[in-house]
Amino acid sequence: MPMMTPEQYEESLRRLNLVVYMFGKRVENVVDDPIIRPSMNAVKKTYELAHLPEYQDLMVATSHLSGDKINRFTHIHQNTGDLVKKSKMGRLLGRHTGCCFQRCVGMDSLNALSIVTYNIDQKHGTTYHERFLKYLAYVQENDFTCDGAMTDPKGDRRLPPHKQPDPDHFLHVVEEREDGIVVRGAKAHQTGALNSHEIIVMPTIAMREEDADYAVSFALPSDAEGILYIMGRQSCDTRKLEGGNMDQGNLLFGGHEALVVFDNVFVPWDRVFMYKEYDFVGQLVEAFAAYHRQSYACKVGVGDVLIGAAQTAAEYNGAEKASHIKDKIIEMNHLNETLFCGCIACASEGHKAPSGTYAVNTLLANVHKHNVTRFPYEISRLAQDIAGGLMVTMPSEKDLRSPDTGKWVEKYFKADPDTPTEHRLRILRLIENVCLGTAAVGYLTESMHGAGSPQAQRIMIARLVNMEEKKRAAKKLCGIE
Amino acid sequence: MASNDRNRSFVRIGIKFCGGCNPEFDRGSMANRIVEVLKGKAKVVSLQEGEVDCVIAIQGCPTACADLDPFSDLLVYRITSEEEVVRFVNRVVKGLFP
Repeated sequence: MPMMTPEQYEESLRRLNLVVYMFGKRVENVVDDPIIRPSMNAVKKTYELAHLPEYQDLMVATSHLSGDKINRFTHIHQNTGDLVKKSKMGRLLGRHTGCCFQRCVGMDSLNALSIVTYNIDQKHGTTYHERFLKYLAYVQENDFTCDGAMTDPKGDRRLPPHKQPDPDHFLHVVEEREDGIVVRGAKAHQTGALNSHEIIVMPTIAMREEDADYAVSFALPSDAEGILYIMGRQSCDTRKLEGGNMDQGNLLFGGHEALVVFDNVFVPWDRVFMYKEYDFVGQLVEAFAAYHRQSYACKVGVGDVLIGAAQTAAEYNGAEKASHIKDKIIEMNHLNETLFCGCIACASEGHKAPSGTYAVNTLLANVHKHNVTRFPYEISRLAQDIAGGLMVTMPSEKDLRSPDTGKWVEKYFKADPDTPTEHRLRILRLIENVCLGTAAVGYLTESMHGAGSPQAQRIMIARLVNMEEKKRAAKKLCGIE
Repeated sequence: MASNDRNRSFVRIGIKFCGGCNPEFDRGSMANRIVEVLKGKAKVVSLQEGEVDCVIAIQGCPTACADLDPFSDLLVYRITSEEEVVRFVNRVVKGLFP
């Protein structure tokens, strides 16, 4: 089964036995839960588009292991063309879903591990890469969605892992057995965890010898014994429980995050890809972070949706010809396409790692992600400016439908005579969803902190720029050298 | 992929799309328009399933990034705009295709 259909994907999730809690209660039916389901729909889209000829040039790749056609989300990049297609795929899916589609993090984990397991073996004589390739073949053959789990809760930020008052604030090894290891800890902010077949765990910060027990990477089925999930809340999440089909804004798709707890979980050796090689933790974190910073190409697609919504709202308001509105739309597009430039550039300037995997240009990936921490906020501000205050003051769908109030809502929120009032309210709800509602988690705060907070990118930019060459160029021109 | 069967009365055509990351026109509806105008003149065949005589590459913008390497030995019509669709359709209507 090289590529699952969307229906097969949904059925495969039903066979999982995830332990999920939300609002203090166990969720018995994860797939059909109205709060979770839109996020499943978004991942499902990655399966659907892979079967449609109009999108296969981006969505489908050829496995370097088997030669089979596979979903690009399980692919190891074989050239810069693959990296460019990854960026374009992100924009495509962002525009189709208007939210985070959650599957890039697993792809980025697989690619980072394909590089680092090889490098560990070269130095330490281990066999992690062979193990990893067997695992990769398994993921590709089954077309799995993988959660890439890096971020530990981290406890007291002043202290390294081994000095934390609570040792579980960083995931760590608690027992070594003949057949594997036992780990304990948690991973926070896990995007798409409940829609994943597998969970790939990596350490979260560079480590020293004293932290060796924390230098561990492995993969497990998402329903392995001892793993439990606690759903994160999103702004306006319970609107999905209200019935109706308007106030959610995005009627079809969404994202989710969860706290994933590993309560003494057993990992067999064949699923362990790093074990106490603390000297490679920093490399794994950086490799993953660079790929994942590229992955914020998705925000360009969500930006496409928001810009389209803002333009539509302007037309429904009858304001689309005002020069300042036109200029704001231009500014939104300028910012959005600048983001696109970054994710294409870091891919085009990629290079081949010793394992054969192509890596993105790390400096440009960090510059791209740093722009992502800023530009969506400005695009969102402009969208709200264009939308007008009604976006946050308009009555509910139930008021629109009510025999008592519907006529007033219809009457007083009519603008363009050719546009039904309901259409105007719907487009404003979509803007609200992306700027302030459930999708703002992905479009704004995830843009800020996902794949590393802004300062993480600034540190990398400082480290990676070629300052000596810049100084040399300046000195040469003014006669110092 | 090309066939030497000269007894066939129709040309077998495969349609290849770019991935559609940011298309400037609706590639799907343009493909349907092309398929419609080709009725009786050519047979559209899935690129995955059958041999084709030529390929129509419908690409959403001038970047034209679709991977056409697998069709290097075939006649490929490259379409990157609605205007090119119109030109192609006119060519078919005038009997200038293939």
